[in-house]
Amino acid sequence: MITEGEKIFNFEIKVKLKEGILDPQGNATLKVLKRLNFSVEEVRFGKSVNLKIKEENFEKAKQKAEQIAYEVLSNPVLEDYEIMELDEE
Amino acid sequence: MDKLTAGVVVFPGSNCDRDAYFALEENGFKTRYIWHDFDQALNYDLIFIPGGFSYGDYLRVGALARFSPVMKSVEKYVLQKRGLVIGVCNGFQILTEVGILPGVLTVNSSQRFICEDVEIKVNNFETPFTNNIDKKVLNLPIAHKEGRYIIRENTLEPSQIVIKYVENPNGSFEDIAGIINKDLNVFGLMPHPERACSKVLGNEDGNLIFQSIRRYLSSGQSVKN
Repeated sequence: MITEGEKIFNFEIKVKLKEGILDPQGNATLKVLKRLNFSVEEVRFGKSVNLKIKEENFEKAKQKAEQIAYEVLSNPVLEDYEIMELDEE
Repeated sequence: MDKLTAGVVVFPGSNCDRDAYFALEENGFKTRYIWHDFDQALNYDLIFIPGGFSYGDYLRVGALARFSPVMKSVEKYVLQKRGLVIGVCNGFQILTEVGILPGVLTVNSSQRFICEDVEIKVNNFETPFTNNIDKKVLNLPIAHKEGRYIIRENTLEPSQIVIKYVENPNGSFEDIAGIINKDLNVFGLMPHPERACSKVLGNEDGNLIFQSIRRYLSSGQSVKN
């Protein structure tokens, strides 16, 4: 339930492998794309996670999203993440 | 002397917990299962974090198990040096996610699930987990898709690399198959010693690890710490 003063904020969090870390899934896909004669140079996979966060204001929601992305959704040894705000529906 | 006790942590999705139980009992440990919701102090001589697919391996391997209440207790257990912890396969992945062991494990460079017996070189015989091993090369089964060990800015001391693959099956950094923490009380490895612990299974090399643990826990003499 949304109480007074709270809103839902939408975020998309993209988690991807850091530069230089071998992405076997990407490599396998690259090979097939090359075989099909597409002029592709590199394929890197990542994942996208959408979050709806209920908070008083945007800043607080953004902070939560940041915390979730850093502490749970990514492993800093091999992944980077990027947070994007999605328009309200 | 009282019998040594071992606890096998069970997460939703663990599937090597029974193998671990069997292997520990075979090696003379009084063994109990510990459910992942258990959040009290752990009073065992040994904690075994088994392989499997904790939480379906969703998000990343081992990532969700890290937040189970029992892992808080395991962290305390390690910090207070109450006993030894061994994490096998998914257990190793969980220990790296928690940060008890450095680095991380990710998809094999072949992108394949590998299930076979491999040869492992013992690189350090002076740990609580290897002090009773009497051969240089062991034969142990592996079964994983995410076993490629990666570490950023290598902070490992050479002695922390306890076992290495003779022929690297998954693209692990430095052929690493298993590492130990600096305090020498936590060992994580991808091969499954608990699946190689009985004549019936045709392979008993895993017992050398369990015997080392027993020897260390009962005497503690063979290890300089």
